[in-house]
Amino acid sequence: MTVPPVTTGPDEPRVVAGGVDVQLIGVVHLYRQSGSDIVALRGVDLDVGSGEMVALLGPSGMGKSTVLRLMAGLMTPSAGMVKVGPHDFGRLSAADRRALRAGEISFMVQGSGTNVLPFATPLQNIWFAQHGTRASGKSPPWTPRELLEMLGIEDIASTPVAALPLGLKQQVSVAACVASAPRLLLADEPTAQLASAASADVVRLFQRINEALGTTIVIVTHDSSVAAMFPRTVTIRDGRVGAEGRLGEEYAVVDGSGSIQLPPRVLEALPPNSRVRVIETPHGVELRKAEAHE
Amino acid sequence: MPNPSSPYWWGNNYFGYGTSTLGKPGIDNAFTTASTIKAIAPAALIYRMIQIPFHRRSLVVDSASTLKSLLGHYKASALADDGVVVSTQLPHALTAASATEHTSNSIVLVVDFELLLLAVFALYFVASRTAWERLADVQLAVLRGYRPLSTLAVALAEPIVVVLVALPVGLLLAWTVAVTAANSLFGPGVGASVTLLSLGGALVSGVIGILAVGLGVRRVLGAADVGEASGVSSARPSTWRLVGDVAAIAIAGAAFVELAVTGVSRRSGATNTDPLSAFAPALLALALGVVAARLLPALLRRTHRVMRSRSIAWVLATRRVARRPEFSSEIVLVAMCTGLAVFGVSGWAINARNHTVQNSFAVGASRVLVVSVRPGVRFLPAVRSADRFGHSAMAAIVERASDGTALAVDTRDMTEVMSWPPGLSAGGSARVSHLLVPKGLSPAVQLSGTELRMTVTATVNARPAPQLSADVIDEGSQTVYQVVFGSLTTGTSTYEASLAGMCPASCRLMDMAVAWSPPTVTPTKSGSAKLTILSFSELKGGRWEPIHAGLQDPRRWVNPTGGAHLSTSPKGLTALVNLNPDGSPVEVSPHDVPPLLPAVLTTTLATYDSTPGSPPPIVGLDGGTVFGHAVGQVPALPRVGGDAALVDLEMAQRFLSGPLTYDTTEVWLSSSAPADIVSRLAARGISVVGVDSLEARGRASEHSGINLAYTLFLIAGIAAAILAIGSASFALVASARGRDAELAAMRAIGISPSSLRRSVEAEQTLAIGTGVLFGTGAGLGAAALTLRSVPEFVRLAPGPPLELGLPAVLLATGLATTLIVLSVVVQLGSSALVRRASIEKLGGSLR
Repeated sequence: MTVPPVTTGPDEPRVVAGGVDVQLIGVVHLYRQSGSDIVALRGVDLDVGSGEMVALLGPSGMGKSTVLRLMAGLMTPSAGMVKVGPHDFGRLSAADRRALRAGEISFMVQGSGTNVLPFATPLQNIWFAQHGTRASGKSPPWTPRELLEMLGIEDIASTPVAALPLGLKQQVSVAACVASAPRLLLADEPTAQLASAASADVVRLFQRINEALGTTIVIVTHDSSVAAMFPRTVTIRDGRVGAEGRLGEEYAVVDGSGSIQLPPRVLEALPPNSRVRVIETPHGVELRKAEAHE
Repeated sequence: MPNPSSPYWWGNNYFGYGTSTLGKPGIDNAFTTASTIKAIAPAALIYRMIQIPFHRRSLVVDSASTLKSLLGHYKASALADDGVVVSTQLPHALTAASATEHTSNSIVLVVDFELLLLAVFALYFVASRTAWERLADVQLAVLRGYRPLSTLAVALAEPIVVVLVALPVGLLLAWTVAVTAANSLFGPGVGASVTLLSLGGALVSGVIGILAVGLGVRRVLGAADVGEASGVSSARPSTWRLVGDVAAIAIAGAAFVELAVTGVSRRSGATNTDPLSAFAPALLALALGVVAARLLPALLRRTHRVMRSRSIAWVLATRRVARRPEFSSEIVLVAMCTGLAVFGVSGWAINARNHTVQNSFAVGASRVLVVSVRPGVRFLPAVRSADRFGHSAMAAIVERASDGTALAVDTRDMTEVMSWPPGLSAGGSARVSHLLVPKGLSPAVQLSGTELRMTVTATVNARPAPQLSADVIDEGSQTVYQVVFGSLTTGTSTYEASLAGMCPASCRLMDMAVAWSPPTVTPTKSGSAKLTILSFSELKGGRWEPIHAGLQDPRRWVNPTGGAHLSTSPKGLTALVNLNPDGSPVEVSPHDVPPLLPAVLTTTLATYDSTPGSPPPIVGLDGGTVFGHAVGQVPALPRVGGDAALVDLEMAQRFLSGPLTYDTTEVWLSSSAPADIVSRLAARGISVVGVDSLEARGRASEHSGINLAYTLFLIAGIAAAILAIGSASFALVASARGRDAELAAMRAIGISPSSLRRSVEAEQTLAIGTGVLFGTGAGLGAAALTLRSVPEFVRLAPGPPLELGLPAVLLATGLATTLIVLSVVVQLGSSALVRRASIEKLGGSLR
């Protein structure tokens, strides 16, 4: 896939494609409820490099979507720091964060129909998605049709989205999300409700975008097969980064406070409240369960 | 002097008051040439009148002040330059027209305000109900980093476009309806045009509509905050909504306090309007709707806890109505629609009923014939004989004087013929007719022969011998004649007197008198006589026929002048007479005339004549004054209005002391009067010179501004009912859009389609039923409390009391029809909604 030339005037500022790094440092987030607060994140430390593709994994309700929303600037953390490129979201106003979503950051919410106008065609949806960029005085890097051609779905350019199958609908959603060539693309369950083939198509689309534009892509998924197509996975458990996988290999992650989440299979041998000895060996660190009399 | 028996004067003595000071007779109105007038009257007594035709369209109420000013200048210059006094009724007519226009405008404003409020709330309802449809678009705009104004544009663009398109379409529709209906609504030749006012009204409505839409979608903007957990609204009202509710209830409460304290809602028969009455129906409906919308969820929650119903349909319905906020606005809208429909229909029906009553009261009967009676014809018996079936034609005479009006009617037919509104007097016309004829009176002694004969046994102690005479009245010509029998002599004698030329049809015996003869006697002279009248007969067709005068009945004879002691025996009537020294006769009369004329007086007349202890003076049929006996009081009398007295015609005729002036002679007809009544009257010497009828008055007022204004009440009521049905349909359609998945999921977990259908029906029934219930209460309350304060219902002219009773049958029919239509809509909509939410569709979305 090649990036088509941008059809803008000579003096208009142009959206520049490329990725951006994302940093979450000691992020804590509480959802305020009447009567009690719910702790969604308990101190998340996560670095995503520019142009990296990351899949966030984990059981439901563990804070994956919250991480993604914090990265999108849709909300600010209760504590800790969220940085996207040079921008510290804790120091930005809501309007500044909105302006970032108009160009540099794109967020794809869960649900096939929620990222597009179902009554509009893909061309119109991309035009609608580019409005924020245009309103901020910049020119989108490509026209709607150029983008559809670039993504290989130009043959459905004029079909109302409501009439498309779910898989294609989701591809149009992805197209709308990259309409303004964001440097960070965040997608919450982009393959939910999709058959495996359609899921693979969508992931391949992400990969093409990443390769062509260098966009940093972070998705949330439950689907291990989808996660397996990403070079890096991060597992969120109990509001913390529980594990990280790279190239098929899973690692436990030591967080800023020195804590480490044990994989579930290890928990069988070391149930909660077990006392362990931490023994340094030449090859690393060994955990040994303490005897009853110790 | 004119000859009263000349055919021109119809035998009536129009010159009873003598001649004018100029020695010329005072004649009645005549149409003649200016030269004739100049010849018979001096210039100072001639009033000139110039009739200036006005083109119908050349003068409008708005130019009345200019015209009055011009007329004022003209009057002054005509008086100064030519010594001519100018007068015209035009300003009065314009003032009356202006008052009518003001009243009509007030009513139209009431209706317009109600409709505008309803339309605005309907727009708000539609906008808020469809707001969730646009939530995804707005959320998407927020996600894509749209600026606040751009986000607002996404939320508002569609409804505003709809409102902007609806404005000219609505205006065009209104204009088309107005043009189409102009002929029947406004009368022939009246056009309808789009004025600046109507354009301005449409513009203002549009702006208010857009504001309402803005309010309706504000929830979407709040819910579109995709950051925090959002999207599901609860039935718990927001602070702003609570403030709005409290404001609506407070304003409605304040309006009613105002009406109760300074308005007329707490007083019956008051005569001032209150502008707040215009706002009361809508405000009351809004306030009650708000109360209902807040009460229902709480009530359902409590009911749910208490009842623990096992019906899945009922549980689903109550939980949904209790939790979803959209039902609140549906309840308020339906309550407002129903309230305004009930109020509008009530207003129209009450106005129509009162107009019919007022027209009927103004005419006096179904039809009134203004008649001319041929000389010599006895009016009352002639009308009675023309009325073939009885009780469909009533003789009436209206006698007008500067100090009041006397309405003398044949009370025998009054109940069947006269329009007597139920609330005019206790007991109605039957009781009044009963009171106007006193009990115990003897029948009149009627004479129709050519000679009278009396056989009298007398003992006379007076010299010279006193004279025996009788007074009779020809009721045809209302002329009183004295019949002289001659000197009374001792012993039994037969006395005869001629009636020739006196009674062409018949006469009534007024009295028999004994007086000194000749009448000019020495005042100190005394004398007495005892006479027993043994028989009384008249010569008819050459034969003497007895007159049934009841000479043996002591109750049938009285001595009104005093000076006589009466007794009866089988022989006859005995009178012991002490002759008056002053020569005035001692009279013995049939007891057919009460001492005072029974009369029903209008309140104003009774007030004028309220000298304690003295009988009220009433205008007699001869133009003089008769003392009456008030047997009842009413605010006004049919046909003659205020300052009037109602008397029995036959009784009033017995009080005649001179000829009738015959101000107006009329025959009042009931609706069942036979078609040939006019010809039958004509055959008896009564010719019709004018007709006034309820039908004609109804036609005349059909296109009046006030009637037109009240027609708008009906139109508004129907529009509100249609809007109620429309809003229920819309609520179902709006539900259908968003409930496919929800209902399909319920079907997937095993809830039967019939249960789901019943559930949807139950929730709509709860919302619509509550709205209809509270709206009906609001409409009835508003109609009962405020209609008496609405202009036009407040009458300044005396008339029958207003009938403000609610049209129960009409309202029940209208409500039943609306409920049936709503029920059908709900059933059809529920079925379609459940059918549409098939499990297959749910599966399809998972593919």
